Amino acid sequence: MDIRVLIVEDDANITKVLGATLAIGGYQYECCDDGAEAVGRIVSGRYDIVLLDVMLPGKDGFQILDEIREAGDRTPVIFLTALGEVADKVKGLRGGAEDYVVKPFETVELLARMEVVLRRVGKTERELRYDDITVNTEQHTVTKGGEPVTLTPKEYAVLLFFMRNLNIAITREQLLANIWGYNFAGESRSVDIHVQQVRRKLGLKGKLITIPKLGYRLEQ
Amino acid sequence: MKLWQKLALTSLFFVVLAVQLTQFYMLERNFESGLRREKEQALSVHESISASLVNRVVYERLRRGKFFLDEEEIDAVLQSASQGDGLDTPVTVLKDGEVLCSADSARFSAALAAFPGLLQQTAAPGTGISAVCSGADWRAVLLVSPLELNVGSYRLVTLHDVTHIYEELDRGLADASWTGLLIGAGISAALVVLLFVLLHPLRVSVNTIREISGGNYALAPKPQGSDEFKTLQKSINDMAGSIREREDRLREIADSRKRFADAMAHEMKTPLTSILGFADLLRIKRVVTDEERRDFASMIVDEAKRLRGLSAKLLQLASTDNSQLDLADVSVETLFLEVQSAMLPALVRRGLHLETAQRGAVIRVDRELFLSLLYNLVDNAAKASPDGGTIWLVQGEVDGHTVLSVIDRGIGMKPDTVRRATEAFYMEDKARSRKAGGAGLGLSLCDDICRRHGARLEIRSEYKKGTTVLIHMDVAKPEAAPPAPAARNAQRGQKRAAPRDAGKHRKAEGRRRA
Repeated sequence: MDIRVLIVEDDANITKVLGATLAIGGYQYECCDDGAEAVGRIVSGRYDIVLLDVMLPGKDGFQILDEIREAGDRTPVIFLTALGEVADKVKGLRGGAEDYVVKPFETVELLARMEVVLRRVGKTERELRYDDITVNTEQHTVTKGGEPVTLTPKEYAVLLFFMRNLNIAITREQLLANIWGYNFAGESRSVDIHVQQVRRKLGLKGKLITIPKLGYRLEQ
Repeated sequence: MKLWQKLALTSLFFVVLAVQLTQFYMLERNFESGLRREKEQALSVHESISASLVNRVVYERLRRGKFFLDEEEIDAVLQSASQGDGLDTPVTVLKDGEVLCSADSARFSAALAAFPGLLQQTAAPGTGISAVCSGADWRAVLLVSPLELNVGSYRLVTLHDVTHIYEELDRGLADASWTGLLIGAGISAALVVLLFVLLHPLRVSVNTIREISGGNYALAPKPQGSDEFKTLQKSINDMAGSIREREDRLREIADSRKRFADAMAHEMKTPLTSILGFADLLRIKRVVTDEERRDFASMIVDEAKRLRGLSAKLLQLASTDNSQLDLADVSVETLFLEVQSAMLPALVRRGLHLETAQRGAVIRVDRELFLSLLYNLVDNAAKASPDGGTIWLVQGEVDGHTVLSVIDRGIGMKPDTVRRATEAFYMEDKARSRKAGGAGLGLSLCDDICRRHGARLEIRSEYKKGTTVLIHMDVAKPEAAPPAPAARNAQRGQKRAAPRDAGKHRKAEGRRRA
């Protein structure tokens, strides 16, 4: 399933960063640096998700969101904001945005947020494949070469996270944040143990590699 | 109890009191004069009866041809005269302290009871009793006088009826109570209405104050009513106005702080986002092509430079706000020369010319800060000018004030841009400004420096024609506002900071020991 993303951002370099990030996440994307133009393009319904900068010249992100929601468009929107204040966050979510990402952000964080939003609106793959491994995200089942593999919920989540972020180095902190929750105060030891279990159970030696001083990467 | 109710009740009380007192006084006066008249009349009646009795005795004497009548004969004459109908008023005649005859015995005995000395009084000529005596349903003026008959001691007693005068007084008093109450009530009703109307402005004022305490300052009713109320309402309106003004000013300050903070967050986080994003991509991507590496790295460098420029400007802005001005008289010529020598290399590289003209004015400024103002303005002019253009740095005079101007024939600004030019982080064309190394703080900084020097920054610009920035010197008092203590300590020499620091150390030591 091809996911089309619209990036609404006026800073050229950030647009480039976002573009490169979306490219490694396997998304198709278009860019727009003008608020008024963005409204028309979003309402046309060509996009599955919108990354919307809050501070734009002419029309700010909040106005754009109001306008597209008034026009009856339900395209999920993730705000990109430099405003870290809680009031602004609430304003964004109340206005009908699906989520917000505070600048500056890490690549994996943005991809994970987009993944969550897309899953919520039912725009993710039901089946993920890697080699002979198939993950059914609806039934939460994993098969390798047609044979079912038994995984604990955490192991399943770790596997899914790697499969969704192929060829991207994932740090232990990112795994902790995305799978154990942001407030999890556990040690990164348990991350290592889970990754080892996934590697062993699914025979991913040499594919799910350890990158010194950084984390892990599932390579294809 | 409300004021108008109090006023109405108090007025009612005093009005009724006044009406009643006046009525009583008038009734009393009437009564007094009526009684006096009656007494005079009683006296004249008494005298005429007395004379007529004496005449009868004389007439009897003449009729009988006697020189003297004896006492029995006189008694008989007097008895017949008093019983007869020849007299208007019933009389009583006393002889030697005894009642000789009485046509009015009932009232006479009542009078006798009131004045027991009546009978014992000697009938010396000229003496008489005059008094008011009363019975159950009557009042009368009692008059006693001796009869001049040469023989025996006869006295005449008359009781002149004055009951009607007393009745009149009683009636008058009863009426007065009622009419007094009625008149009082009428006047009070009128007063209540009048007070209600007169006190209306007070209620309006109270309402205004209530609205003000509720946060609504817009309500400003027209002052009305009597002068006191007008003054009151006007003062309230003035108060509301000044509160609103102050609130607006505070809100404006808060708003502009928020805008500044938002803009600064945006300006700081935008390059940071690129830097973090590209660095992260370099870190996590499995395959990075040479082209990508160069591309990402150069963007990281660009954005880091942008952050460097921004932080330098922010520091400058912060120190401009906080540092104490080191004012000294400096000649404009020196300033212009310094600008020239400092800026020329950069200008020459772009083939720009810098022309100066001045009239030898001397201005009182903080030399370093003022130079940075001029650098900024010349730098702006250079950025706006096409290669090979000319920038003018001119000193003139307007209305006795020294005016410095920086003039270029560059791209100019649109009116909207001119209006917002000194706003922090405002950039007309962000992409172009950033390429030129701008952070949107230059003119904001210049405006601050001018304000602190008591000067005014004026921007005149015409789109595509060029810009003139004027610095009007000495239009206000230089700002000598004390900066934040922390900044002052950091900026000033150790001389001032030392004693304070010593104190702090002592305190810190004390705390440690404790």
